[in-house]
Amino acid sequence: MDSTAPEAPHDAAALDEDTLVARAQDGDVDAFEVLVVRYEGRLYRYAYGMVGNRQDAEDVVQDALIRAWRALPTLTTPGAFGGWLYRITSRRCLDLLQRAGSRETEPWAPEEMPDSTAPRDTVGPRPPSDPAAATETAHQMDDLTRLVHQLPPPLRACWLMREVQERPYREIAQALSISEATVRGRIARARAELAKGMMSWR
Amino acid sequence: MAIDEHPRLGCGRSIDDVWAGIDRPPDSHEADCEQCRAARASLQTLRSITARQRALEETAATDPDESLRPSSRVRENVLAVARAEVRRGRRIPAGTTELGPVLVSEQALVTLVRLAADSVPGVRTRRIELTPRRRTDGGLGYDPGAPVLDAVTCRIAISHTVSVPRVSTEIRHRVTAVLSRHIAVDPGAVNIVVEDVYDA
Repeated sequence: MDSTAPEAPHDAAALDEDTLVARAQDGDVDAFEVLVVRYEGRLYRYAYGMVGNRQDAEDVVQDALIRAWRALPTLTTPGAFGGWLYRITSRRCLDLLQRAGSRETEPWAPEEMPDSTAPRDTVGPRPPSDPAAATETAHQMDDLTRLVHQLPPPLRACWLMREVQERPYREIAQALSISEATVRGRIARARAELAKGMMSWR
Repeated sequence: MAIDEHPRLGCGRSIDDVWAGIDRPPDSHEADCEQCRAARASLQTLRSITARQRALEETAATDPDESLRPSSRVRENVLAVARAEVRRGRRIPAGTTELGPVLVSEQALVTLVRLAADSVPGVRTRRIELTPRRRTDGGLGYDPGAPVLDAVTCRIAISHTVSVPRVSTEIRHRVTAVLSRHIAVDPGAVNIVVEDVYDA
């Protein structure tokens, strides 16, 4: 009669998200595990983009998922689960960045750009097969990652959730407690800042 | 830090203006203006790298590069906490022995009901709600020896291929059977709420 008893995880993995959320709300850890597997990677890459290092990003995701488990019974719309996870994760990231102090929000300074030959500790693509194009693309991706990390955190959150994670505007607005118009404005500002940063590479 | 609302190029155009025209050929100003040309090139590069990041996001779950995912420790820790904190809820008397009443956690009853309802083909059980019977004297807890539940409510999604009356009858039958057979709890009414229909 333990909640972890006969239901095999591979069965639960085939279920629709609303069903999994409803079961997890009733304390079904197997259903919650499937949700964790579905979301942990996306949330981690988002958090990594926000906080800029593996340790903090893992801590944020772990903390956010535990908070989500504890607060699940209060979630009234199972369909809102994904957006709700991004909201919890965004708040953890922004709290952490705020605690870390103003250093994180200084404008991008070219002289502080890490040497591109230094060992990589970034979430980035593995290069495609053409070595020249691969190097070029890998560098561009790394450079963009650094530029994104120099954006003020509220702009960074909007940019990453919309342009990389492809979350809906309405959800991003709810995640950050701002209007959709503000989300669109922040993404336009982020785009302009990133383009400016890239122009100065030339 | 101060960031301009609408960063402007030296020529007076904003980067937003250049972005708005990124999908058409450069206009006569953009064709001649070095800054606008540079801004267009940057925005195009930004767009293509960002598209690559999105593509990477699609395949990251199965990418061999472990750095794209959190370490397995994160999942282990989260699930360890979840298991330790499973909301067991109220305890419900499920029969009496010479040693005293047997109490079963509400969580355990919910799990039994879920498994019973889920065993009906074409049914995906969602939330289960137990409605305890109030004591006749109005107090909290249960009357010794009296039925403990007024109702069990099963919220379900069903396959579009099954009949609602048929699965409802089957769920009632199986839920009543599992509760009375295993733990001698009379479920009272078994309410079925169909929340959703899925294709399969």
